[in-house]
Amino acid sequence: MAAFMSTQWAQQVKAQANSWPDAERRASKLVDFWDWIDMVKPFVTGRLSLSVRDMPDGAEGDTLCLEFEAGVVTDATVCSRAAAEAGSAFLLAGSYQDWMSMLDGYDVGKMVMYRKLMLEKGDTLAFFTPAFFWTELLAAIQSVPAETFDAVPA
Amino acid sequence: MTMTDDRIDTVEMTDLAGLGHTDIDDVLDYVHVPTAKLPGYLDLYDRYLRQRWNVNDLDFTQDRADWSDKMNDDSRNSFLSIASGFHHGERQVEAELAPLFFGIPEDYKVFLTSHLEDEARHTVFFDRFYRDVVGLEGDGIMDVLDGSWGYIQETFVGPFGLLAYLTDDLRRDPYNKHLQMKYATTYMIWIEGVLALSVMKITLNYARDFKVLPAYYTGFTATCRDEARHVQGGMRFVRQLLDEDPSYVTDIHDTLRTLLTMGAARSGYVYYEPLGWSEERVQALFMDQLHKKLAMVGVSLPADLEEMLSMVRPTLAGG
Repeated sequence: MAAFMSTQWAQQVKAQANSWPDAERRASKLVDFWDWIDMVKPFVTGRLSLSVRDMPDGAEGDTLCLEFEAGVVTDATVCSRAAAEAGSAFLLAGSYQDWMSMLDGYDVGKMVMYRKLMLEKGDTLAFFTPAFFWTELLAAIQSVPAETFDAVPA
Repeated sequence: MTMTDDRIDTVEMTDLAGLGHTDIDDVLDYVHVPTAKLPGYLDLYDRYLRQRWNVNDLDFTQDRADWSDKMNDDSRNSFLSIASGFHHGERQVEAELAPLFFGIPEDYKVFLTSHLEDEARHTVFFDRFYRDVVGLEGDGIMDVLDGSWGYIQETFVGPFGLLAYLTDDLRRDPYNKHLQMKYATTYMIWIEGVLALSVMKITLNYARDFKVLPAYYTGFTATCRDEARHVQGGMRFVRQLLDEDPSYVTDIHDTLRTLLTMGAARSGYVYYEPLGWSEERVQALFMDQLHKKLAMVGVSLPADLEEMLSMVRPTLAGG
């Protein structure tokens, strides 16, 4: 199992995002929903960064950078937030504890609605126009197994 | 349709017990006063003081009996598919209101304290309904909310997530009037003015026509009357911003463009038929409610937004 916020994990996230949804996920929603996702995909281009505010020591970085071209992830890397932020169209950030909850299965809609992931860079209306593309991306990330760190530093 | 003074008086002056016999259609019509007659913020606050109701005065004993004896699985499921949107929506509009206080006119601040208290009371109203009638359990408000989450459409996170993130934007920059307009469009025009006021009618008509759930009918009709004040206050605020600078209309249109794009998605069906409705009728209500709110603030929709509105899937309730 790849470590959370490692290069190997980022590559697995890329593969999962680009093959999403799996058959079970697809069957759980109306065809209309996936048609809507296909409709907004061409407009999803640029970098989305997903950051951990209080990443424990030992990880390669605290931020997952996903480069999108028409809804396809073309590159996925792990780096520092400082390195990721400048080129990002959008940056979402949350605490390590909330990231762990999401990886453990916490509802991705609630991650957004309860602001466990906050939009710390980017235009809010532009981010929400393809809103469910992003929640499906979070679901794809959530489905990639990851070895996590034991403790959050004090 | 214009309401007669008699009907307005009935809605304005009726106490909680009397609201149990008031027609929900009269309460919904009551929202839509002409722009020139939009009450002032302090008038709305005065109305709040007269119309405030105590959520603990409601007795859900008969509702619980109706829920188990008079409703079947289909009607209970359809009812929960709609009511759960309000269960969560009321919590969301309660939790996301505070940052608006900083940058608004002084009189609106006074009225907004009552708006916030209303939303807290509505949250408790639904908490009581889900505990006392549906039978959910939990140590606190969030436990019961988690219990009804399974009835929520995944697309619910669209408008309510947008509201949460705009709340954050406003918290960081509370005097930014473009942000205030985007926030008011999401909160007062779309969530309260369209989603809530359209879908409220469905469960209330069901309760009225089938003579079930009397405490729910009473409390939710009172909630609807409270929402009328919120929407009128919000429309006054939007009108005030537009009077200051008509170019803020772009913020209304841009926000609606995002909301209507999200509104075209649905992840599952809501079966309105067991409650006597169809998706087409609900969609028509959505369109009518948006046009009425925009008429209150003197704004029209460009052609692209009209087309987007006609494609909205009415699967969400408001708060």
